[in-house]
Amino acid sequence: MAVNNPVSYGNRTFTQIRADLISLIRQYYPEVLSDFTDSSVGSMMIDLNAGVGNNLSINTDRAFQETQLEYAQQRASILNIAKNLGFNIPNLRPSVTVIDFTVTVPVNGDNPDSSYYPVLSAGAQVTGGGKVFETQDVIDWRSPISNLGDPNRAIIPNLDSNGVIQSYNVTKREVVINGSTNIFKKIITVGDVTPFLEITLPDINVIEIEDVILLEGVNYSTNPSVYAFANAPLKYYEVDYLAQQKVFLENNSSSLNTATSTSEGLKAGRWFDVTRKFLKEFDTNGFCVLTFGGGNPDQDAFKNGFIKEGVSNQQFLMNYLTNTSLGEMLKRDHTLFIRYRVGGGSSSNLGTNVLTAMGNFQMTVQGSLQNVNNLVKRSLTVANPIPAVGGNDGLSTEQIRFLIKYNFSSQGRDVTLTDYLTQVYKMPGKFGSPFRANAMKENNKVVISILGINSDGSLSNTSTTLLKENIAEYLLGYRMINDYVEIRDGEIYDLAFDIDLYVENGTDSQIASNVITLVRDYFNINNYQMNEDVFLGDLQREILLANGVINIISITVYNKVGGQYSMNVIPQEFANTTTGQIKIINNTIYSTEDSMFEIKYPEKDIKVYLRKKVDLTS
Amino acid sequence: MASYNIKFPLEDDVNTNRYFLMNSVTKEAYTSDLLLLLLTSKGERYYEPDYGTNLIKFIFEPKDNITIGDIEREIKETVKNYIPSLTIDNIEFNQTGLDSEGFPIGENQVNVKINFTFEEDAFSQSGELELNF
Repeated sequence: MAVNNPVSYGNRTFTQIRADLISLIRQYYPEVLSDFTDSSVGSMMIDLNAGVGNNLSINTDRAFQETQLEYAQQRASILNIAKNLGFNIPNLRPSVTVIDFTVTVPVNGDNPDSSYYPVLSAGAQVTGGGKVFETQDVIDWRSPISNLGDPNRAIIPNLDSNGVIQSYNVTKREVVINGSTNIFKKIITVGDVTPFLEITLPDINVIEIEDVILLEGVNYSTNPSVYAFANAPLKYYEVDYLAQQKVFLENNSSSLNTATSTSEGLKAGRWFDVTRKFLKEFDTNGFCVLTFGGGNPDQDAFKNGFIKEGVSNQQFLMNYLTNTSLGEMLKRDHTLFIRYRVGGGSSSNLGTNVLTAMGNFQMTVQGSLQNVNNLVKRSLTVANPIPAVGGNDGLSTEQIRFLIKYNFSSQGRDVTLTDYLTQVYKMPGKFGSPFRANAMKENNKVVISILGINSDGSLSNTSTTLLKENIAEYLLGYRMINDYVEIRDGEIYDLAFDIDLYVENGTDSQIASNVITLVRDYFNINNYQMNEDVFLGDLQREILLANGVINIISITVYNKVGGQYSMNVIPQEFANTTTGQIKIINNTIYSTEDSMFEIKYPEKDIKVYLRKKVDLTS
Repeated sequence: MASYNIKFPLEDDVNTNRYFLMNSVTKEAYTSDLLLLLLTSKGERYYEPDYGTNLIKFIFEPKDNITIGDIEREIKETVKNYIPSLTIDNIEFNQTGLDSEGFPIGENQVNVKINFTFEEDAFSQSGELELNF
């Protein structure tokens, strides 16, 4: 006969367990206990048991919940899940701004004497508001382009009372990032030569690790120079996970590193195999922890042990003896130097013109006259024309939760066209960065179309081979194995406008000027992406809002081709092939996937005609 | 012999060698229940925070009729909620004289005698519980 089990083992709450226990006692011990009122001692004991059972269930649920990304509540749990899924959580974020670095240089004929153009070393400090900001790369006044590829040099003459140019103020506008550089030193002893050694930096506000080097010997009384950090033979590289075999670094041996590209701040990049690598993570208290590799790069064991015993298949044994696929252990009797930046946080956001002083910096001027060189150096002034923004106090638990999901879904691979596009913009700035890019599929291959920007701020579709090579090389580390990627220059469609307006006062040139400015701003290339159509309705609405404009009589749009303009011809049908007048369809000018619109010369390509009321009775 | 519940205060059952002495008589069972209820402070019972009384708070109250009235109300309300089958007939407060065991009632003591009745089958039974505060 089947026994009716009074206990359900799936029950978890106090009420359920209590009812189960009472049911059990009623079935099996009716002669012993029959008083189940709250006031009986037996009930008290049943409550005690049910309560303990309930608590255990809650804790089991909670422990399980903390392993689930969707439900975990404790920050430590979220961080552990992130670690398991290979997502490296960033700590504090530093604010970023641009600084106008201005020097005064002497005159040479009608131009500044470029031999006195200075060079400011990377890591130059700009201070103000109790904060320190640093430059990321060398600032070379000889180059009109910034390290991010934007035109950034302005030259303003200084005139005396007779209108004669006495000198030039030459301003380079460069990005600076909040934070100052610290160096951590550790002597590696026998005990430190252990797989996956973890080193915790003493600062809680670490923003990034700049360099990690290992120098032979232990008697270092001073810190290595920036040059020594850059050129140390035992250099360790930051990776996203220790199994990562390649990192994207400068390729100094590339034939693409020409004088032109270098002067533009561009360097050839390539994926390099690395075995000296480390992982950067932040613990639950916000301290930065570096985890080094677990392999032993030392081949002495091989040479002194196996070869002597007659085992000579080096390739076979190296798989076991010097397997550094998860990185190398540190070496004893060496000194580890870690150069890192600290700062960041929301307090690093500052207002305009707060950063007005220089901290530590190295500037070289190599003109022929030393006293002039010194004058140029002393003339250096700085100011931030825009506020320092972007600093924040790290990611909240909820932000981390959502970022883990995205990170896990993409898994560092380029699968969709959007992935490719995102990856192009993530390429480190020193290897170049297109002003605009778009990814498209063409004949079963992925085409990345890029546009650059000229020193006058207009679009350019003559990007250097180096930039295209760098992008192609960079995407190699992320693309799917069966994807073929082609990088090519995009198309620029230069537009011109004839705008016929009915206005209150037909002679008011101010109205025309306002409308020209309005149209120029409307077509500001910074507001457009590639493959973005132009809806004339929006433009018409804005023109109608201009002071003095009563009605729009007509807007005629032309495609300017050749000469000073781009050679690209818009695919939309022409109303007049001689003038290049575009046939407007659906009040829209249609773009293509690899193109972008521009009014190259707004001062002559936007013509506004004003008409006033016509007296029909006369 | 069938038992109702566990005797309170807890005692070893030396005759049967069980851990607890059990109540086999209804009146004793009610007396144990009442005693446990009155001596449990509110919040003490696991998962039943309202179970029990607040009699402990009267320890530092003045020994006057107001306090006595409050104690009486507290006992009656609690019993009504948690042992509804028990009816409190009378609560007697003695501040002088001797208690039921013949000990003199101290200057800072109150002797409380609770007379209760309950229904058992067709009969009405009565019992008494004495407490010293």
